[in-house]
Amino acid sequence: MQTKHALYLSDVSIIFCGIDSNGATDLFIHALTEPDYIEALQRFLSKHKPESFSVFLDVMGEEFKHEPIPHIGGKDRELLLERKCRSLFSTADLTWNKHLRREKKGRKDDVYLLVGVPLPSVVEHVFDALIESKQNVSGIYSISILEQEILAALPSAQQTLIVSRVLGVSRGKKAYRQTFIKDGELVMSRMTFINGDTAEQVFPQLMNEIERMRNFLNGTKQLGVNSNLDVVSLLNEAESAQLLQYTADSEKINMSTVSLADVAQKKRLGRHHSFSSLAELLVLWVTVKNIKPHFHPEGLCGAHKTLNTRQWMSRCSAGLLTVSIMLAAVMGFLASGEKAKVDALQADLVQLENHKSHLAANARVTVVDPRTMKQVVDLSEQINLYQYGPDKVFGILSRAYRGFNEVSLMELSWAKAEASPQQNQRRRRGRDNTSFMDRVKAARQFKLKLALPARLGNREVLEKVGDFSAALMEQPEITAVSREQAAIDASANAQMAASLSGGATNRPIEFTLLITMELL
Amino acid sequence: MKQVKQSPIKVFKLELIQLLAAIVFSAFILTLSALYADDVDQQMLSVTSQQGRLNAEIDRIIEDEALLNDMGGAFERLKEKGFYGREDRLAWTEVLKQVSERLKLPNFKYSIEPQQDISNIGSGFQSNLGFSASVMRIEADLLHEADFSTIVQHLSDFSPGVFRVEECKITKDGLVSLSHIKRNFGIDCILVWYTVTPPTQSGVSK
Repeated sequence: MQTKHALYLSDVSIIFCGIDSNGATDLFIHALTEPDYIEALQRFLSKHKPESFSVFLDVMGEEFKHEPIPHIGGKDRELLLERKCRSLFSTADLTWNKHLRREKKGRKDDVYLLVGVPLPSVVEHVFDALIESKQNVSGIYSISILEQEILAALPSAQQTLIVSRVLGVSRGKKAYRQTFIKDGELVMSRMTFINGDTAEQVFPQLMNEIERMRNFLNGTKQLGVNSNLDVVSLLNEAESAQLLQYTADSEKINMSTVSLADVAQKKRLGRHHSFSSLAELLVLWVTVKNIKPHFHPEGLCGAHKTLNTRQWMSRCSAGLLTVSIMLAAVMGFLASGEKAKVDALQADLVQLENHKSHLAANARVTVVDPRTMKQVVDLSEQINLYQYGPDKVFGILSRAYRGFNEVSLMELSWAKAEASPQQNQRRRRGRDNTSFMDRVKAARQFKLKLALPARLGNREVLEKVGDFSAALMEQPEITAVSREQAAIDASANAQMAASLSGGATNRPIEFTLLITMELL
Repeated sequence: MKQVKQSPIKVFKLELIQLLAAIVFSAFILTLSALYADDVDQQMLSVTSQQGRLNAEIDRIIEDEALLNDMGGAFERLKEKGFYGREDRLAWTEVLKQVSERLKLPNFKYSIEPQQDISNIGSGFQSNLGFSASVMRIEADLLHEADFSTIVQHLSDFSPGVFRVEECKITKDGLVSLSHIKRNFGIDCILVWYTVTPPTQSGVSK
């Protein structure tokens, strides 16, 4: 892991540390109570020249509010929150907000946690020095806000008071932070100074401060009168053990301790680290997990933002160049492959051209295009194939006539080619587009006039005509035979009349058959 | 905290120049690549098109050769027969005269109508093939019904061109016999003569 840097600022001290995979290492520690702290810091920074670092604030006077605001979005919400922070924390130099929940009743407002941080003058001087020396500050974190992030690593309770130590080097004075969290939400955080160096001097006073905190919470109704206050000591192991030796006067304070190593493990920071304080753990956690800073004051973080933007623009330029060069290379590679195919095809073209010239040189020269020749031959074949010449028609009728010598053939005529109903309709409208080939291939009709001797009875005449029609139908070329005219019609829907007196007549009985022929 | 506001262009001058240069360079090399790729694509299209054209021409030469082998003889016979050539209706009348004299047909008459072009031949046939038809009407009294077959056979064998029997009527006062010779038949027929007339300026094909 690359070494990163953090600047820890409390009311009493300034600590600059390096953070790597082994944990945090103090590089510069100075008390803010001494007059030369700015010069000392500037000397250190000019000597070490850190690339960039984060600032962690662990100062007094932070204010916390839970505020409902109407459920609005976008720019309006930001403006409303900004106005709310200005009105609530008029003296705060830095403000922060976090959406907690949405109310379920009434206007269903959004509830926000608003935090205002007024900077002590010593911290302001440090910030001015950082701005002046153009230090690259990536952002500012509040230790009290960060403390709520470790709640998941603590034993679950409705309300918890976290006790942690504020880092510092002020002689004869120690500072502790008490952070009260209720229902998973940060309610308040208070820093307390305690005079003394030894455990016997410090921890009884700290216990008194915890009692005072309980009374304050009772007074502000943050804690019920009969409710116990669960206090979790997040000091190092030695300090926690010493603190637990003392008991509170009130029975309604439950003291417990959680090892910083356990918290680190639950926050996935590894078990091998040993931590002197919660602040050190939080600094490491923020650095390792890249947690977003709470504050970005323009003056202090401007240089970092500018540097980031510069880096981003440079990366964009480099990325654009890389992508375009890669794209151009891919396009060039694909085009080269295509070009090789084109070259190969061009070589084939030369061979094809030679082959064509050879074939053309050896081809026979004809006056008539061979395709025209084929059409002429096809046309002639079709005309001959569908030729209803007298030989063909007589031959077909002769085959059917065998055995019907009593039937006399009086007249044979070629009727016009049989047209389909659609063709007839088009013809009537003058739009007959029937092609020549369709007309040639169409079925043909023939009228055959027959005569039978009158001496035969009507029944026998009808039988012979029927038999002859059947014989005609047996010919494969004939598709239909019908009677167009009949001297005798014995069908049920026909009218029959004859004079039976005056003797029999010798006049032949005539019929006309309509025969439809289809070749092939 | 002091704040000094500077114009963003001044602050990021170098980076903006770098970004602009990267954009210009990227656009330049991408345009060059695209132009090269487009040029190669065009070449590919052109070569593919030429290859298709040459293949089609070679196929046509081979097909023409095959058609000549298959159809050349039949076409020459049709040309000799007069189906492909100018209509010779004088020859038709001469054959009719010969057959009339040979069969001693009384009252033999013919008429031929002006030639008509047929453009709608059917699918697979070109409309400007030069296909045309002439309608011939013949009327005759026959001594025998088989004389009609003889007339048609003579016309088919000795006349230039190809014809179809379009309409026909064979009548007899008595009975028509298909097996015994009788006299006094009458025919009234329409024959349609077909010819394919070559264009006046024939092209030479290879």
